Amino acid sequence: MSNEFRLADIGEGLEEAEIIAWRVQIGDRVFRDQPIVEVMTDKSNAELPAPVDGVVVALGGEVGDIIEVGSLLAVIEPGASSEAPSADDAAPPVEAAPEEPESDDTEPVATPTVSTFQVAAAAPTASTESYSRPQRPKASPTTRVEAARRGIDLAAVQGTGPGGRILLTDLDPLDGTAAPTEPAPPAGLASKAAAAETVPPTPEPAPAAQSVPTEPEPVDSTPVISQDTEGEPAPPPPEVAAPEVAAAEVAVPETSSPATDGDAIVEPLRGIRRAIARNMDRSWSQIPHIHSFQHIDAEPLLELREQLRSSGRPEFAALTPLSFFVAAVANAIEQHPIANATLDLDAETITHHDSINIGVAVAAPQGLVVPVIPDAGNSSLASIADAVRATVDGARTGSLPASAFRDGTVTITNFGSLGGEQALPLIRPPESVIFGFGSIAARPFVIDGEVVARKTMHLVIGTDHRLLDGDVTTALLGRVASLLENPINLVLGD
Amino acid sequence: MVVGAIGERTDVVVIGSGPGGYVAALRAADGGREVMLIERDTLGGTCLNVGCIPSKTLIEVASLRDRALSGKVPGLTASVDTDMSEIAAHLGDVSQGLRNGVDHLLHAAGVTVIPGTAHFARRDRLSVAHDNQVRHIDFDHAIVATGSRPTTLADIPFSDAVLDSTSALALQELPPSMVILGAGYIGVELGIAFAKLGTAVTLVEAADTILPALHAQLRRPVEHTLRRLGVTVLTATKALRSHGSAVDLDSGSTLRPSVTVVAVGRRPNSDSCSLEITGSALDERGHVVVDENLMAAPGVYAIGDLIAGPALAHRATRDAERAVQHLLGEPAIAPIAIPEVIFSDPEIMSVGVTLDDAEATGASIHRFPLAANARAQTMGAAAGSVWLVSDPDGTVIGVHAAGPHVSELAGEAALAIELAATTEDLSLTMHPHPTISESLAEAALLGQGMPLHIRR
Repeated sequence: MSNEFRLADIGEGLEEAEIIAWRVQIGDRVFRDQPIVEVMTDKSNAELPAPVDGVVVALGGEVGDIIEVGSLLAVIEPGASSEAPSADDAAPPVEAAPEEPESDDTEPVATPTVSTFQVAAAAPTASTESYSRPQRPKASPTTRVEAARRGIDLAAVQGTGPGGRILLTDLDPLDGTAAPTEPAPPAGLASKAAAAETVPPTPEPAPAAQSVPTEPEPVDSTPVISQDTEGEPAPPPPEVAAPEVAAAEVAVPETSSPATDGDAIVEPLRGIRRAIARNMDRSWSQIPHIHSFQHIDAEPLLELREQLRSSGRPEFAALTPLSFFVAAVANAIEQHPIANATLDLDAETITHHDSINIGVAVAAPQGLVVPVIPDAGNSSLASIADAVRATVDGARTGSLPASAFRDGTVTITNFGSLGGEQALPLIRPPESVIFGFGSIAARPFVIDGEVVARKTMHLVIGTDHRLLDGDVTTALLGRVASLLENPINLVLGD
Repeated sequence: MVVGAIGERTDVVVIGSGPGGYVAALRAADGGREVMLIERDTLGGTCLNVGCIPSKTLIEVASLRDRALSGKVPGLTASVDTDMSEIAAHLGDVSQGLRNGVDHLLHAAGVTVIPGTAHFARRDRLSVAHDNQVRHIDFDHAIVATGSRPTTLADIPFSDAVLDSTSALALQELPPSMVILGAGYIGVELGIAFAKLGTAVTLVEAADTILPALHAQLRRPVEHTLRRLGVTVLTATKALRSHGSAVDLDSGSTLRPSVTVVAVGRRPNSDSCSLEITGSALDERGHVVVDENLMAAPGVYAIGDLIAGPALAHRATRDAERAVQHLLGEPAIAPIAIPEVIFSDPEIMSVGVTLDDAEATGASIHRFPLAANARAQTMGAAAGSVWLVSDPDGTVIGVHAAGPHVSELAGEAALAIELAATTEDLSLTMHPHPTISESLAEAALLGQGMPLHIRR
């Protein structure tokens, strides 16, 4: 009796995951709780363990496939021998099974176990819970033909229609990411040399589909619209610009057929890059942004940070400007709760979130991720500092659970830590607000009517103009600016 | 006797002009190819000449007679004279009309129709024999659509008294009694039609039941009709041999009808055109082996009854479109849903995951009885049901029905499956009243737990 191992909801609200790596192959013996597959959800990776002892007889997808929650990941035959996959051709007689130790079977599987399974396999099993048939991609014939035309494997497409149905428009972001599977017209017999190889026509694989020679470093890959100044290397901004290095590698001079260009290297869009691409595409194409800026005096903030750091209180020992930013944003959002909301134009609804969960962009080894500081609105600076440190560290080491990336309501991008002075950050749907913090550097600044050299920083806010207007937008940023220029209020206020 | 050879060439040659072949020829011509279509008999193939079309015409006539004489139409009393030769002529007229239509279509598309019997002479050449003349046709692509023919039984050879379904549909006189060997869909359709015309029919079936490929619930209304018509049904019975029109059964008894019809299935005409020359292979049942693009060999496609899968006219038509799309370098997709219809009484339709598979896998089955359908009531034909199979997220994966005119539901059901429609999609689609099609929406509502016209 086979055990079907399906993708469960491993993170709150998870709908799908991408297969990153199989830890096992068909025919492998696995033990309960042995990791068999690594999957990536929107923003985190997870290794999923086998639910039972047995032998893997089927895998539910290829590396790079996106599978929905509930779809088949693997079929494990409990107690099965490693020959299970080929057991369908002539199951041996029951009495013969124990006599077959399979001399070249390298696995330390006890022979009695082998026979037990083969008896079980020979008996008809009534599977009552699910279909053995593979789940077909849910798409209309028009969409399926178009996918064939464009060489898109629908199994790898994330549908946005009801129940994950793949719509024609879902193919657009994927255009050209796959090698065409539809061949040129098959050669007729007039050209015999070609014809001999025409059955079945095999598409030319895209060259070097798996690797780009110069893998961009995470930090390199996030150049904001920015100028450089000083700054400590720290979290980069979220998804503001495409990785230019990679883009240059893939750039195709004039022809529109990248897969056949001799010099270009085409790689599939996968993983975090794909998640970022989709989300930013949605942001840029669907959200009318307002951006507003302020230029503030950063010296009070730096002074207070030094005072707190040297106060001897352990919670402030590793205090960074980022903690102030989180606290200031949380406070500003509390003042303007309309900003802590999600607008859905299709449904014609505005969803007001009950807690302020602030996402912080972090450059992690696996890519740009945005872990969330939950309920920042009800937290003291000290506890925010704690949470920021734990969250950033956790994101960088990949130890955060999938739930740590969920339910953000506002995002902060600290592009200044990369040296960026100013930038136009993009909102991360379904959120409605993003704050950006530029580099702290000495600049001309007017104080009491005098131009002085002063350590300052540029603040930026991006808001969804469908939900928020200029008044709230500037008020939000003004509140953050005021708190950062008078940061003692962030300590005293709570 | 071969007296000459003419050499010609064309882009595409199509062998057979049935619903696979003529559509392939039309579509290849539409794609700008020079096309020659070779037919050894009459345009339209089995379906149009000796299959679907004449049988459905006969069923229509027989059903009218049955209805008039049934005494079940309130207020009407009828007597009916039945002239089988006129019925046969009518069958021929209907086929001729459709044949003319195909001829016109092919002519309009610029397809050259060549009468004759084709054989592959080389991988890229056909020889076509006709009237003692052989012409050679060199081609770039060949689409082989030679169809199938009735299966023969070695000990029950065809004769004047032992007919295949083709000859049965050409009978000029109504036989007083008829034995039909095989109670698959062909045997059941013929049996019901002749019984309605007044013939005493006996169905002999080796399996345990009529229509053995179908779920018991689907065939039950048909079994009821067979009883009403007085058809004798001998299941789990084999015919051993024939002498004259008489047939010896393995039960030891002998049936002595005026005519015996063999309807035990069809076999592919894969042996009719020297396909082996092209390097094509056959499977153990004689079907041509093709790849996912329907190619049997380089440059050679095989479609329709010739290859494995349901031997259905519409399947062949779709194969033709796919093969030509591939030939032209256009994207083609395989259908997900292949609907099947049986013109029994009542009709049966089936598409997608079968009821047997649904039961075995625990998929949801929602049955709406036609007794609760207004249109069925107006027709006085409320036997039967519609069954809808859905997967856990409500996607329609199978639809089956037995009932009046349910063959007309098959298209919508197939569309639903192709679109991955949900039960909600079906129920939110307005279905006109009063029609049998409402029963599809009602079955979908059952799937949503919101039945409207039945209550428990």
